[in-house]
Amino acid sequence: MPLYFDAALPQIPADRIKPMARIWGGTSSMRKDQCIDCISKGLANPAQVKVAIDGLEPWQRNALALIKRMGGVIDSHNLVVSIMMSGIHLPLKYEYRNSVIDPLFRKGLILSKNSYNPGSLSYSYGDNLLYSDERLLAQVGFPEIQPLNLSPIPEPGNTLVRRSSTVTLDIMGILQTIEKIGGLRLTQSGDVRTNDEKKVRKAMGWDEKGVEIDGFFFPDLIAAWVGAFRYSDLLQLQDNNHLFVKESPEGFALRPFSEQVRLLMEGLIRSNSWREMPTDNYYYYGIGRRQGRLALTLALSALPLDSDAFFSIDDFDQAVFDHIGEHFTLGAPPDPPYIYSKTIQEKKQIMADWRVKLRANWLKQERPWLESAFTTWLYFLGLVELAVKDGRVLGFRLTDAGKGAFHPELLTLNRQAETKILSADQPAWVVQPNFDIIAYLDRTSAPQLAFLERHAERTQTHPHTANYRLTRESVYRGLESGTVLADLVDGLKAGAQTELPQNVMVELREWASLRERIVLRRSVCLLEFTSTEARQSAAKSMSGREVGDRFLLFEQKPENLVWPAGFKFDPINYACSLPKDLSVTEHGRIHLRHALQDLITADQLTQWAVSVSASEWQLTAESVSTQLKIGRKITELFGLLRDRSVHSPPPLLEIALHSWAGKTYQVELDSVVLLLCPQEQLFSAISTSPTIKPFLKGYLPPNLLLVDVNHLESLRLQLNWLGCFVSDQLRILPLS
Amino acid sequence: MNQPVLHENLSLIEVADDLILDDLYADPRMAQYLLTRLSKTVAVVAPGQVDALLLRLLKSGHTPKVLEA
Repeated sequence: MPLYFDAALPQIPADRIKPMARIWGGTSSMRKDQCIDCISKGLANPAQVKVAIDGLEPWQRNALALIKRMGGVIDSHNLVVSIMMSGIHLPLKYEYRNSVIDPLFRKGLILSKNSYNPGSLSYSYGDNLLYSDERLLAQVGFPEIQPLNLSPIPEPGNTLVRRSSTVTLDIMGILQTIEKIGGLRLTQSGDVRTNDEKKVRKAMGWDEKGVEIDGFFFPDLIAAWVGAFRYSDLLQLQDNNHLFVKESPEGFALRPFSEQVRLLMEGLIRSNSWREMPTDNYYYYGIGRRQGRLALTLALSALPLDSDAFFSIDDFDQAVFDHIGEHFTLGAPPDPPYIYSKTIQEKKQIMADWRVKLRANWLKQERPWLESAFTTWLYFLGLVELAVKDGRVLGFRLTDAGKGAFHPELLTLNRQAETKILSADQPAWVVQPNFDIIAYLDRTSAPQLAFLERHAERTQTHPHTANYRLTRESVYRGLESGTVLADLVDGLKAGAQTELPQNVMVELREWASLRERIVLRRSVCLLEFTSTEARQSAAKSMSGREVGDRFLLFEQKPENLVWPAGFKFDPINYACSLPKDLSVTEHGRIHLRHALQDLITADQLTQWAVSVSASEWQLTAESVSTQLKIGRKITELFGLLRDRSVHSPPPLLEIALHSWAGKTYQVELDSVVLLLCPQEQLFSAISTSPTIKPFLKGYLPPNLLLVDVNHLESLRLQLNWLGCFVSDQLRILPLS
Repeated sequence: MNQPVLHENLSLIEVADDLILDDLYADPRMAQYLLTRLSKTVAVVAPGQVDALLLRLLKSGHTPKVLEA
C-alpha cells in the first residue's frame, strides 16, 4: 500500500486542513471538501509537487529528507531529535516540540498515523508515528547535515580497526546459519523465537551474554544482528511468522562493502530489542536507543569527508549534546523547567541551571551509551577506527566504509571505484594438499570471499586469515549453485599464491564426475508411443532424446515444444490432480479403470498392495506393513486412495488399514444365553431375586440378562413357576 | 492407447550405469520414491518426492546433479 495522504484527509478538521491546502494553491475561503480536492490534485501532479518542494524552507525540506531516510514513517520525537541534530531548523521557542512539528503539519507535509486525528499530534511525547506522502518524498534528496565544528586530535599511536573482509565473513556467517536452520520463526507477538536465536548463537559459537571483540565487549551479538537483519532488506517475512534470507549470503558479499554495512546499520537503527550496554535495563521499548542511534549516525555524517583526521570522543560527545541535549535522553525526553511569570533574568538563570543539570545527567547516562555504540556496532561493522589508550577509547575517525555508509549520496560515485578494487583477482590464498585453504584477508576481495564461501567450508576465522576446507560436499554445493568445474578450478588458481596441488586437482575432477552419475530432473516432458516403431518414425521430425523402447524425453516446457503438423497426442499433466479411476472394496481389492495409462499409479499401488492382474491389486496386512517398516506412514496410502478413488475407501477397510498400521480396536465376542425382560418391573424383580441370581452371569442394559448355561433348566423351571411365558427365540431386528 | 501420450511435469532419475538404478530399487528406503522404470537407466520419481529422494541420496553418499528439466 503506498503511503498517500488522500484517505486520511477527510478525518482532518476544517480549521486544520485549510492551512494545508495553501501550498497547493488553496485559499481560506475554500470549504473543507474543496481543500481536500485541492490537496489531492496537487499531490497527484508531479510538476506541482516539485514547485511545492522548491518553495519550502530549507529546514522543512530537510525534515522531509529525514522522514524519507527512515522509510517514510518516523516517531514524532525521533523527528524532533533528528531535526535538531541536523542543525538545520528554526530558532527554537520554549515549546520546542510544537515549534518543530506543528509547522510541518500546518504546511501539509506530514500527518499522524493516528486514524482518528491524522491532522495533529495526539500527545506531546510518545510513540506517535508521523508519515509523509510518498509523492512528496519522491522529490526530496538526502538529508543535509550542518558540519560539526570539531578540531582534529594528533594521530594516535595505538588504533584498532576491523578489516572489511572480516566484517563480511561475520555477516555471511550469520546469514548462512539463518539459511541453514530454515529461517527464523516468529512468536505470535512478532519476536524471533528464542530457540531460533539459540540455534544461531550456538552455530556461531557466541556466548549469550556477549563476546569480546579486540578487547571490546559486545553484548548478545546474535540479538543485535538478528534484529538488524530483520529491519534491513536482508530477511523476508513469509506468512507473517517466518523470516527467510532474501538474498544468498554469497550474493550479499558481492555488494560494495559500504552498502553491506549501511544496510545493517539502518536495520540496527530501527531495531529496539538489543541494547548497547548490558546494564541498560530501564528502557524496555528502546525508543530512546533508536533516537540515539539515528542522531549518532547523523552526527557522524556531519564529520568532514575529506579528512583522515582523528577526533576526540570528548569533543564529539559535547557537540552531540550541544545539538540534542535539551531534547533527548535514552529514557523520557527532558522536560524544560517552568518559567512562566518569571523575569527575563530569572528565566535565563533557570534555563542555565537546567542545562547544567542536563549535562551532568548526560555524562552519567548518555555518554557511556555513546561510547558503547562506538565499541559495539560502529566498530564491529568497520565504520570507525578507534584510538585506544589503557583500554579506553579516546578518539576515532571514519573508515572509508564509514564515509560511504554515512554518506549514501556518494555511494553511486564510490560504487564504481569499489567494484573496481573488489573485482581484482589477486593471489590471496594458499591451497594445501590436505584440501585446506588459508585465505589472507588483507588480500582477499569480496568476490573472492564469496567464491570461497560458495565452494569450501569455513573452518576458522582469525584477524588476518580465514581457514577453509574443500570437501566433496562443499564442492558439490558449489557445483549445484551453478559453477562448472572449469570455473571452480580457474577461480582457485586465480586466487592461489602457488600452484594448486596435483592431488587436489585430481580429487576435484573426481568429485565433479561423481555428480554426473546420477541426475534428478524435476520437471520434464515425456512422449510415450505405442511401439518402438511408432517412436522411431516420429523421432525423425522431433527434437526429443530417446529413452527406453517407447519414450522421447524433452527438456523444454510443453508450451515451447513444436510438434509436426497434424501430430496428435493425449496429455497427462502430473502437476494437476490425476483422474479418480480407482475403486476399492471392503476386502482391500483395488481396481484401476484405465482411461489413460499414466506412469505412476500402477507402481504406487504395487508398492502398497500385491498385484493380482494388470488392473487389480490386493491390500494385505503384509504388503502394507512392508512399507510401514521402511518408515512410510499409513496416511500416505489413505491419501492415495482418497485422491484417486471414485468413492471414499469403505469404512471397514479403513479399520483394517489402521489395524495393520498398529492401531488397536478392542471387541468382545462370546456365546451366551440371553434372557430378555421387556418390562422394567420384571427385569428388576428377576435381577434382584436371591433365588434367581445364582442362575445368572450378569446383565446388559437395559433389559438383557446373561444366563449361566449350566443352570438353564433350573432357570426355565423357576420362570415357569413364576407363570412367565418363555419364548425360545429373541426378536432380532435386521441391520439396515 | 491409440495415439502417443505426452506426460508433462514428470520427475525422472537418470543414472550413468544401470547397476546404480538396480541398487536404488533394491534399497526399500530409496525404492519408495521410484516408480516406473522407463529403461535400464531412467526411472520415474514419485510426484513431489524429488527433494525427499535427493536427501536420501545425499545421506547415502551420492552427489546427484539436480536439473529443473
